[in-house]
Amino acid sequence: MSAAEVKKEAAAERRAMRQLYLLLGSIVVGVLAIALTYTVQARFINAGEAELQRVHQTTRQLAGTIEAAHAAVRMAPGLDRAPSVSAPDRGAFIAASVLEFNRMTGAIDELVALLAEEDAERFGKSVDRLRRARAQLHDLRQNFRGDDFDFAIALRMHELYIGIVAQQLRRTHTSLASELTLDLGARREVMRASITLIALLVLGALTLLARHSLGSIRTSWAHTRQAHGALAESEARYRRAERGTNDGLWDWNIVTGENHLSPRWLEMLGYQPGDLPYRLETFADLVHPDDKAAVWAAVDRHLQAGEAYDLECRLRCKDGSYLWVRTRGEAERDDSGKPTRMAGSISDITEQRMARESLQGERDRLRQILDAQFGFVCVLKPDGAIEEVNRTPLALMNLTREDVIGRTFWDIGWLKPGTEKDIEAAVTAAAEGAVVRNDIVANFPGAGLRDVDAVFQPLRDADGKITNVVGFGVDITERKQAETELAKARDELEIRVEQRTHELAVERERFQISQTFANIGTWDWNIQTGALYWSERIGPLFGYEDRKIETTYENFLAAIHPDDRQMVIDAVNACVEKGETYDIEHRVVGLDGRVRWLSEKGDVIRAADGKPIRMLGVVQDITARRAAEDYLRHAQKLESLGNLAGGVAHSLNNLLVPILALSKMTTDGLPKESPARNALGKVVDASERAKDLVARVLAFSRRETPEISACDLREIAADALRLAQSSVPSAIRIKAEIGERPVPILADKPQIEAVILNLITNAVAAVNGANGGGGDGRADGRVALGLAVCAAETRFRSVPEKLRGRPCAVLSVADNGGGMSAAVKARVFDPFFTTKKVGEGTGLGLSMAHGIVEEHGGVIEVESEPGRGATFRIFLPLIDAGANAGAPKQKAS
Amino acid sequence: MARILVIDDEDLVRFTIEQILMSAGHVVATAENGAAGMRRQREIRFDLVITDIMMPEQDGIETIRALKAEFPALPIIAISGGGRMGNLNYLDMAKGFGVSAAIPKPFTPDEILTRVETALKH
Repeated sequence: MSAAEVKKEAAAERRAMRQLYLLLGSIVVGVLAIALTYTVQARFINAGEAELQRVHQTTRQLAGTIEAAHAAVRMAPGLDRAPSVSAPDRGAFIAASVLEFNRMTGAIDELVALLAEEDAERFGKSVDRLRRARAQLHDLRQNFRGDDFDFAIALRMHELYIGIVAQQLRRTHTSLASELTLDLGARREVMRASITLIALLVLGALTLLARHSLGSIRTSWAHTRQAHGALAESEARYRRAERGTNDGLWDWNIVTGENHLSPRWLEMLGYQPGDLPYRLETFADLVHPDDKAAVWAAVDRHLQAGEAYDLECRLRCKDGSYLWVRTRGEAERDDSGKPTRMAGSISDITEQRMARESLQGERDRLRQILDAQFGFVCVLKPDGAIEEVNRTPLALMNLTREDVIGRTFWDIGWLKPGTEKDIEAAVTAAAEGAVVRNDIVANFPGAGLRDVDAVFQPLRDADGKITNVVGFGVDITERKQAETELAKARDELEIRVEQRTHELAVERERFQISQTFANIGTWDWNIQTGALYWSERIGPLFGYEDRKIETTYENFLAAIHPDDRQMVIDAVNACVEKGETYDIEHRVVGLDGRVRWLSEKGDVIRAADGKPIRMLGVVQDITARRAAEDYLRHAQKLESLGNLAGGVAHSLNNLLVPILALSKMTTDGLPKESPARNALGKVVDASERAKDLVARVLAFSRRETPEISACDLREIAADALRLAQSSVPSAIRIKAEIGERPVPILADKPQIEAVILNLITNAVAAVNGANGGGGDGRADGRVALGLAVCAAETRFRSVPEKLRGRPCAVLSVADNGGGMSAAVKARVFDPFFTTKKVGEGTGLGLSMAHGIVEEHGGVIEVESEPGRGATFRIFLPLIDAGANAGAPKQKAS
Repeated sequence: MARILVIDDEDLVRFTIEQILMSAGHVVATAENGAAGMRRQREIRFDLVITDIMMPEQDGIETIRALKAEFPALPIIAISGGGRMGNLNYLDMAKGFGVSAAIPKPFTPDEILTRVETALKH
C-alpha cells in the first residue's frame, strides 16, 4: 500500500473510529439516560413499595393485635358467669389475664410505634385512642391486687375495645394499601413508558448514525479482516518462531487444565507431538521428584503474588534421563485478577549448567587457592571498600566474609590502632596507580601485634582503567625478630671480630717474627684453584729477595736447582697423589746466582672422599746445616782417610824399617870403593825421603782442632809446596818466591798449610784445563807462589780494608790457566760451588780456605779475568816477631 | 852384651832389629805380641825389652804397663810406626809410662844402638 493510501486508510480508520466512538458515546449516553430515568423512577417506586410494605406490615400487626384481642375475649368465660366461676378457675383466669396483659401491652406498644410513623392526619386519632387505652391498662395494672377478678374483667373489656380500634385501623390500612398499589402501578407504567421513549429515541439516533457510518464500519470490518490477516500472519510467524527457537513453549489454560506444549517442547525431551496429552498433568509428571515442590511453590507465588516465575528444574526425557531446563512464564488474569492462563518457555540449560558448574568449580578452586594462601589477599574498591578477601585474616579475626564485605579495609579493626591513616594513604596511592610496599602492623585478638610485609597494587581492566586495589601481605613477625636479633648478633660479632682481628694481628706479628728469626717460610697451595700463598720469608728463601714476583708454581719450580727440579716435582706428585710423606731437601738458585739448600716438609689436606684440596709446606734454609753436614762428612771422610793414612803410614813405616836399617847396615859394612855402596846409598836416601813423606802425609791427615801458635809463614808455605810438588805432574813447574825475611804469624800450621796446598792444587788444575772455565791445558802452564810482607803504612792498594794500618803478610798463588768470569769469581768461595765436573771436587776447598783465613783474622781474594789466569791472595796479620819467640809449641810430626 | 827381647808383630821389623842388635853383640830373642813377650820375659829375665806399641792382642802400651808392673827395673824402649790417640801420639804416651826411649820407625841402626846403650846403662 502506498503512503497516500495508508494515509487515507488511516484517516478512514480515524473517521471510523470517531464514528465508532460517537456510536459508543451515544449508546453510553442512552444507557445513562435510561439508567438515570430508571434510577429516579425506581426510587419513587421503591419508596412507594417501601411504604406499601410498611402498610402491609402494620396491617399484619394490627391483624395480630386483633387476633390477640379476640383470643383474650374468647378465653374469658361469659361475663355473666363470672361470680360462678370457681376459685381455682379464677386463679387460672387471673394468671392468664396477667399474661394477656403483658402480651397486649407489648402489642400496643409495637402498634403505636408503627403508627407513629404514619400519616398523623389520617391515623392520628386512632393512635391517641390506643395510647389512652394503653394508659388505662397501665393504671389497672397498678391497682391490681392479685386476686382481683374485676381487674381481669376490666382487662378483658379493654382488650375488646382495643380490638375494635385495631379493626378500624385495619380497614383503613387496607384501603391505604390499595391506594398505594394503584399509585405504584401508575408509577411503573410511567417508568416503562419513559424508558421506552428514551430507548426509542436512542434507537432512532443510533439508526441514523449507523446508516451514516455504515461505510466506515464496513471499512473497519475490512481493517478488522486485515487485522485478522495480520494476526494470522503473526500467528504464522509465531509458529515459525516457535519452530525456529530452541526453546519449548507451553500454554496452560488454568481454568480448563489444558496445557499446549510446542513441538519443540516435546522434542527437547525426546517425545513426538501426540505422544503425550496436552494437559497440565503431563508437565507435572515429568518434573523431577526433588524439584516438584520448588516448581509448584513458584507457580503458586506467581499466581498468588505475581512474583516472577523463572526457575530451573529437571524434566524426565523419554529415555528416562533428566534434562535441566529453565522454565519461565507469565499468567493472564481476568477482570477480578484471577489468573486464567499461563504461558511460557523452557530452555535447555545443560550447557549453561555445566558451564556454571565448571565456573563455580573454578570459582571454588580460586577461592580455595586464595584461602590456602599463607598471607592475606584482598581486593578493594578504590575507596577502600572490601570486595573480596581470603580466609586467612578472617580466621584470625573470627569473622566471616559477609561480616567484612563492603566495609572499609582499615576500619575492620585488624590493624594496629593509629596506623589506619597510613594504610588509607597506601591504598589511595595504589588506587592512583602506584605499587606501594610497606611493612604494616596488624593486630589480631589472641595473636597480638604482628609485622606484615604488605603490598597494594592497582588492578586495571582491559582498557587500562583502574578498577580495584589488590592487597597482599605476609606475616614477617618472626623474620623481623630474627632480623633484629641478627642485627644485634652482627653488632656483637663485629665487636668480637675486631677483637679477634687485633688478636690475629698480634699473632700474625709473632708468627712473622718467628718465621723471620728462624728463617722459615710457609706456603699454602690450593690444589683446586691453583692459588698459591707464600709467607714473607719464602721469597728470600728462594732467592727472590726484594723483588715482587708472582707467587706461582712455575716460579717456585724455576727457583729450584735444575738438577733437583724433577726430584721435587716427583716428591710433590707423590704426596698429592699417593699420600707419601713430603720431606725433601733441595737446592735453589737465587736470582743472584747463589745456591742455597732448603728443607721442605709438607702435607696434603684432603676432603672426606680423599680428594686433595690443599697442600701446606714449611721451608727452611738449611744451607748452613748442610754445609756443616758436608763439613762433617768431609771431616769424617778426612778422618777415615786420616785413619787410612794412619794405617797406611804405620804399615809403610814398618816396611821402611828393614829397607832403611838394613840398607844402612849393609852400606856401612861395605868397603868404601865398593860400587854397591853408591847404589845402596841411594836406597837409603830414598828411604829417608819416604819416611819424610809418610810423616808429612800423616801429619796432614791428622788435623783436628786448630792449635794456634806463632809460626813462620815461610815454613808453612815451604811445607805445602813440598807436599804439593809430590802430587803434581812434573810438567808443571811451581815457581816459589818466598823471600828471606821471616814472616811471623799466629796460626794453626796444618790449617794454613792446607789452605796453601788447596790454592796450589787449584792453580795446577786450572793450568791443566780441568776447571772447565777456560781453555785446555797449556803447554806452558805456570803456577807461581809468592810471599811478601806489607808494612803498616803501605799504600799497596790491594790490601783489603780490614787489614789496612797493620803490617800483614801476603801470600799469592797465581796461574795462567783459563781464568774465571765475573759470575764465577763472585761465587768462587761459596760452599759447594765448583766448576769442576761431578766427582772431581766437592767445591769445599776454597770455602774452607776462606773460612780458615777469616778465622785467622785474614782475608782471601781472587783476581781473575777470563783467559788471563787467576791470582789468589791471602792476607794475614803479622805478629811481632820477637813477642812469641821462645819455645813455640812444636808437635812431633 | 845384653839379653834383649824384641816384641813386634811385623816379622821384617823383628828380623831387622835382631840383625842390628846382633851386629852389636847382643843376644836377642823375639816375640810376636805382648802376651808372648810377657811369657818370654818371665821365663828369661831379659836385660832390655824393645816393644812396638800398635799391636793386636795386647796393645803395646798394655805390654809396657804390665812389664813395668812386674819388672819395675826392666828398661823398656818403645818403637812405633806412627799413631795418635787424640792429641797425643803413642810414643809420647809411652814416655808417660816410663819407657827409657821412644823411637819412631823407620830408624837407622845407630839410632837403635845408641838408645839401647843408654837404656842399659841406667
